[in-house]
Order: sequence, then structure tokens, then C-alpha cells
Amino acid sequence: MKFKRYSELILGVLILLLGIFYYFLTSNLPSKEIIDSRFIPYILSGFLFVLSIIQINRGIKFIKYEIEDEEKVTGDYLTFIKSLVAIILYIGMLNILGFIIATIIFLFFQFTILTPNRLKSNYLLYVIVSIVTSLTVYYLFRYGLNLVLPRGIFNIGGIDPYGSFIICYS
Amino acid sequence: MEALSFAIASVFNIESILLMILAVSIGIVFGAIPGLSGTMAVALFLPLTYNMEASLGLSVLISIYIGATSGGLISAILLKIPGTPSSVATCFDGHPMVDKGEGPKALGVGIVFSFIGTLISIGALMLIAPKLAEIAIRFGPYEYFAIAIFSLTLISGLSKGSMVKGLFAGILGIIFSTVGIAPIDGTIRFTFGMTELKSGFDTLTVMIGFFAITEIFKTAKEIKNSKASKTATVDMRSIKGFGFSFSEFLEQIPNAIRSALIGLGIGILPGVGGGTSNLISYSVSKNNSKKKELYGTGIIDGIVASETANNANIGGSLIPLMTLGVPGDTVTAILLGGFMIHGIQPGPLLFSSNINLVYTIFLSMIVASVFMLVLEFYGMRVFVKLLNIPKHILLPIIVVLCVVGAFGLNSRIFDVWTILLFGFIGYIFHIFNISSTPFIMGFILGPIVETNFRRGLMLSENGFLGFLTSPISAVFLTISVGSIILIFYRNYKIRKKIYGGD
Repeated sequence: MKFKRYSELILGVLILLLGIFYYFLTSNLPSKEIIDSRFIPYILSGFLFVLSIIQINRGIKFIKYEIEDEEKVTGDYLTFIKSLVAIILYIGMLNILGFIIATIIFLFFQFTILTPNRLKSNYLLYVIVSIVTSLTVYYLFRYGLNLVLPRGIFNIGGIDPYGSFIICYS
Repeated sequence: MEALSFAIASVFNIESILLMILAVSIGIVFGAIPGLSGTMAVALFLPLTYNMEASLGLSVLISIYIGATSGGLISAILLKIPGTPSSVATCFDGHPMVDKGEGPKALGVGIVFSFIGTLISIGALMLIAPKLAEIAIRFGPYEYFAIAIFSLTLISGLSKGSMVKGLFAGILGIIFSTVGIAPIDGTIRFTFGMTELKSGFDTLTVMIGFFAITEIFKTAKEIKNSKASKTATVDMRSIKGFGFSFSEFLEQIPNAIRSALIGLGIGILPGVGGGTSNLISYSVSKNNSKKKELYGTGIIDGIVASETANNANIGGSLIPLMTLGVPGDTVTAILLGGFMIHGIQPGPLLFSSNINLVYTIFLSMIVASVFMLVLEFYGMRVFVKLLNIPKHILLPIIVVLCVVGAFGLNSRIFDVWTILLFGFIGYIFHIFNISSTPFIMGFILGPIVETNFRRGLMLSENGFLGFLTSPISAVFLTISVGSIILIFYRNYKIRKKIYGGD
């Protein structure tokens, strides 16, 4: 797989870019004396430069080196991306739909996305588990542990027993 | 002895006992299920302890830790897959024993020696920690700086992947820790204008991201094509006593003590944890045994070596945490957060100002170990059943718990996005084969490094040589620099051999 061969080199380049980026950010900080808040960050970026040179050097040698068995990289990136998108949407929806609804929707879809090919998706089970889990977690944390969770713009989850209204900021 | 009575009162009450039993069980489950780990369990349950008293909260978290370290042996033996990295070596002899029909014996040995390992390390903790605290009280910026540097170089060198990658991970960790308000002069750094970043990233979000979210990403990549895992079932209740004879027990004692010392020693080293000690203990045990060739075919010696060491790690890791405020491994890194949440700064002063808490921790560890022993013997059937929970159901629920934990920190969505960020970074690390432990340690030790560096310089009017005036500091710094050079040199020679010269 092409990536493995170049991975070491790519990493080296990434480290270099990071070093440059961090150096640039550091130089924009207000400066007072020689040893101030910019000192350690400068040193860190220096280390990154050194490491990147070593890593790039190794990366180049690694490319030339014949790898005996190039294992086929099996990677189900589609599922990975679906999962990632699901999580991103979930977090984004938390403050709009509120924890309970967002969690139910997320769990249901994530169960389906991750079901191995050898099994058939048991939709009824997924729905039940999603709802039960979401409600259990919400009420357990709210009333058992006094932990506030987003209620969304529809204020799902009921009003506090103490009658106070909690607003969550993102 | 007032502290002891406080401890007894704290631990031996209904609420505490019930919570600890629950905590140990949860720990065992997380340890047993491959893909879930003790670190994840402690990170996820930390939010639950926010509203508890400090001593109860910490006892619960440490109970989870003890359960999880031991739980790994269940899947190592029955599934041939280690439940946690601490139980890799247990697979080597554990599973062959199941094939030979000696499953209950393997489990029994694993459980009992996990218990012994934990107890030995608790004993060491109780003896060493107070003495070390007395010395550490006199530590100043030079010493703390040197120890932090030493820890970072150690971790970078010992982690998987090359030392360059280890150092990179460590430095990246420190870089992330520089976000926010700088120590000493309060300059605001690297916040990109975001108010939320003024206080920097929260350690817990880093932990949850790296250990839970990354795991989910890794699983998502493989799960569609995964095969069903076969769990060997074992009926623990039919065994007599502990599953092995008293004479076998006596025979294993030297092995156990040596393994415990290895686990303890590795635990004390900041940053290095159970994942390393079980493997080292196994090879040491094998090399020093008359039955060398039998290792791997299914003898209890291998299990003893592995399980005693990984559990001994627990007490060992708590030593640097409690005496210096430097975590002994990733779980104690989270425990550090646990202390801080309750407003307690671990370090040498802990033993003078909070001795009640210290004794409570000691006592709860002993009690938790006993619970672990009992629960694993009588509850084995339940734990084995739990191993069969399908991952595609379990992991999304874990994601939800992560979100709750992250949100619960400061009631803001920003922290939830942060766990996603670190989950992503953790995944990138995985792709490039970089270990995440140096990053975590870098993130935690970064402030210690920077603060003490600047304080140290101020002490001697900007002289770098000041750091060499203190004997302890000089020694640690020399070892750090020396070990980096040595490891690079050794790796250079190895590479020359492999690549056959330029």
C-alpha cells in the first residue's frame, strides 16, 4: 500500500510544518524580556525542527528500503467516515434538539452504521436500547448526580424540581 | 492514629462499601472487554465523583482501577485477546491452559496472584510514600523540573515506535499544554481569540478523547468485516478452593515476589505502566526459570509473572502521584485530575495536610482488592456473559457517556468538541504508529516543566547552571540527556544494520 511506504516521510514533513506553524504563532506573542512566555514555545518549536529533520531523513531511507511483504491495508474508511459524521452531527444537534432526542437519534444510527456485515440489523432492539439508554443516562445524571445536560431549544427534559431554568451556552 | 479511625469510618459504611463493590465490578467489566480499558473507565466515571466527598470519590476511582487491571485476565485467558494492554502476557500461557482443560485453574491463579500483587504494592506504597514525601518536601523548582524532564525522556524512549516519534508525541503534548494563560506572567497564548481556550484544554477531555474516542474510530474501521469471537466458557463454581493446590502456590512465591517487585519498580517510574510491566515480568520470569521451554505451552508460572506484575503496578504508580504530583501512568494521570477536582494538590504536602485522605486511600485499596478477589471468583459467570455484549451496541453507548462526561466538566459544548479533536489526533497517532502515552504525559507535565524552569531561572538570576547545583536535579538531568543520546546511538546502529549503510 503506497501510504505505508511514504508514511514516515509524510510524518516528518508534518512535524516540520507544525514546527513552523508553532514558531510563527509564538513570534506573534507579546514579548517583554528574553525569558518570558515565548521562551519555552520557541524551544519547543526548535525541538520540532530537529525532530522533523531526523524523521524526514529516516522517511527517505524508509522509502528506498524494500519492505518484504506489503500487507494489504484493509480499512473500512466508509464506516469510519459515517461514524465520524454521525458523531459530529450528534454534538452539533445537542444544543438544538436537547440531549434526550439527539442521543436517541445518534444511538440508533450509530448502532446501524457499526453492525458487522455478518449480522442483520435488529432495528427494534436498536430503537429500544436507544430510548432506554438515553432516558436512563439523562435522568441518572440529572437527578442522581446533579449534572446538567443540554435541553435544546424545545427544553426537553422537564423543568427542575426547584423551578429554576438552566440555560446552556455552546 | 486519628487518621486511621477516620479512614475506617470513611470506608466501612454502607454507601462507601456499595459504591466500591460497584466500582470494582465496573472496573473488571471494562478491563475484561477488549477495546475498553481501565483508563477509559476511570476517565468516564470521574464526572460521577464530582459531587462526592474527596475520599469517597478517590476510593471509587481507585477501585475501578484495581478491578480493571485485573479484569484483563478474563478475556486474555478465555478469548486469547487481552482485555487491556496490561494482560498481554497472560494470553501466552492462559489460553493454552484452557485448551488443556485447565481453564478454571488459569483463572484461579490469575485472580489470586492479581490480588497478591495488589497487596504487595499497597504495602510498598504505605511504606515508601511517606518517606519519599519527607524528602520531596524539600524539593524546589530545580528538582521538579529535572524529574519532569526525566519522566518525559523515559516515556518517549520506552513507548512503542521510534524514540523520535515518542519525543514528538511528548513535545506535542507540552505544546497543547501551552494553550491558555502562561505561568508566572499570565500572558494569554495560542487561544486564537476563543474565550473558551483561555483556561486551556482540560486534562479530562484529552483523556476521554485519546482513550475512548480514538478507540471508537479504530473500531469503526474494522467492525463491518469482523468475525464473531468465540468465548470459552468456564464454570468457576465447580472448582475446589482456588483452583490450584497449596504446593503449587508455595512454588510460585519466589516468582510472584520477583514479578511484584518488577511491577512496583516500573510503576514508580512516571508514565510507564501495566502495559510494560507484564511483558517485562514475563520475559524475566521465563529467562530465570528452569522450565524455560514450557513457557507458552500453558503453565501457571507465566500467568503468575504477568498478573502479579501488572497489579503491583497500581501501588507503584500511586507513589509518584501522591508524593510528587507526577503521575505514574495514564490512569494515575486521570486520578491527578480527580484530586484537583476536589481541590487537593497531590504532592509532599498531601501527607501533612491531608493525612486522613491518604489513609483512606490506603484502606480502600486493600478493601477493593478483597472485593476484586471475591467478585471475580463468584461473579465469573456474569463477567463472561458480559464479554458477549456486541461491540456495535457497546461503543456508541460509550460515546454518549464520553459526551456526558465532557459536557459535565463545565457545562459547555466546547469541551465535547474538544474530545472529538483529541480523538482525531489520537487516531492520527495510531495511523503513524505513534504512542499516545508520551503525549498525555507531555500535556500533564508541560506546565510543571515550564513553571519550574522559569522559577528556577529566577532563583539564580537567569543562570541555567543553577539547575546543576542541586544534586538530585543534576543527576536526573544528566540521566535524561544521557539516555536520549544512548538510545539514539543504539537505534542508529540497529538501523545501520537493517538498511545496510547509507
